[in-house]
Amino acid sequence: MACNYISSIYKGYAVTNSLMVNVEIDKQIVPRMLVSRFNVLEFFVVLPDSLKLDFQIEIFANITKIFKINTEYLKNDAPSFLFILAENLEYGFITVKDRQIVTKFNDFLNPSGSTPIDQSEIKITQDLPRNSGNIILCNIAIYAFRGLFVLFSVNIRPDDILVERTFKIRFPYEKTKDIGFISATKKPLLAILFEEDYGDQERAIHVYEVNEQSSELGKEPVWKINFSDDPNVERFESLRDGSIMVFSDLYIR
Amino acid sequence: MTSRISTQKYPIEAITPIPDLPHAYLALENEEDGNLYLLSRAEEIKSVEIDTNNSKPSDDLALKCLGTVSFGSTVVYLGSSLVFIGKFYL
Repeated sequence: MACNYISSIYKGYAVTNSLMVNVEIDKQIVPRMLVSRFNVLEFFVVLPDSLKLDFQIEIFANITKIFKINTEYLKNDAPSFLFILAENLEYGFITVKDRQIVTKFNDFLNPSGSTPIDQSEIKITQDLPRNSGNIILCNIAIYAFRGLFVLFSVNIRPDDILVERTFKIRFPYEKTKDIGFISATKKPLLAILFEEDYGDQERAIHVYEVNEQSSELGKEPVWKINFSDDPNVERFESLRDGSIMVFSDLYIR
Repeated sequence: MTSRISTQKYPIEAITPIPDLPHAYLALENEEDGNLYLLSRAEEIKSVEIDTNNSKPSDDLALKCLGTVSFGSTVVYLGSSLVFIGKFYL
């Protein structure tokens, strides 16, 4: 098998997140590569053969997760909305304008008696945005505490994001490995990869409808995949056509 | 899910889609001699029914090794042939 040589083109130590985002600078929307290191956000200009640091923003605490919110129905030249979660469990919905953070909403994740999981294992997912006139509606789910999901219902406009509701959903199994919304469905369907707390401790993916009115998962999963033949399934990726790709220690399927 | 591919060496640490290539992803192993892979599906599956008896075959999955990346923790496709690999060393 032919292999190409890969090398990093900028010193990338202590990187916890990296992603492409749109930011607003001098009333223009420009793409930047965002890297988070400890409590610093670094924004790079991508050149054909290198990266050039444009600016840095320091925030109040070490950054655990950054999630870019899918706003595909908005015009392309809108700045990216980002969800940032800090080590102290404070989170914010933000954009970046003129080299400064513009916070649209922020609060703390409240575990309500649940134990926080290792920060490297925190998962964030979003369902496909639904277009309602000039507003986009979507749900964002976070797994950061054992047996508990935090969901945000948000309304997004080109220049603003409104958190309409925040609710918590208990899940009967404590060892969740990954979560993801299933795409290409009209109703929000949350897929959960978990390990049984008892018995053979097998891993499985169960897909539940999220009832936004009652803030609960459906009583029964609408879709189940058991991995009795593979105890090492660690994560999955929701694909745009509604299918999922499953990753175990040594297999992809 | 009737088939699987097993040419990777270690668990996949990070996955990112490639916007220029529909149904293509970069997948990264976080080990000293871990690899960066191009993971792709041959064609789009047009309709989906959520049904345990209608599991999708993954015969169209393909994995191509792009090279070795030592201890990569994040990956971003930057466009053209540029890829950013973030590392987490303390």
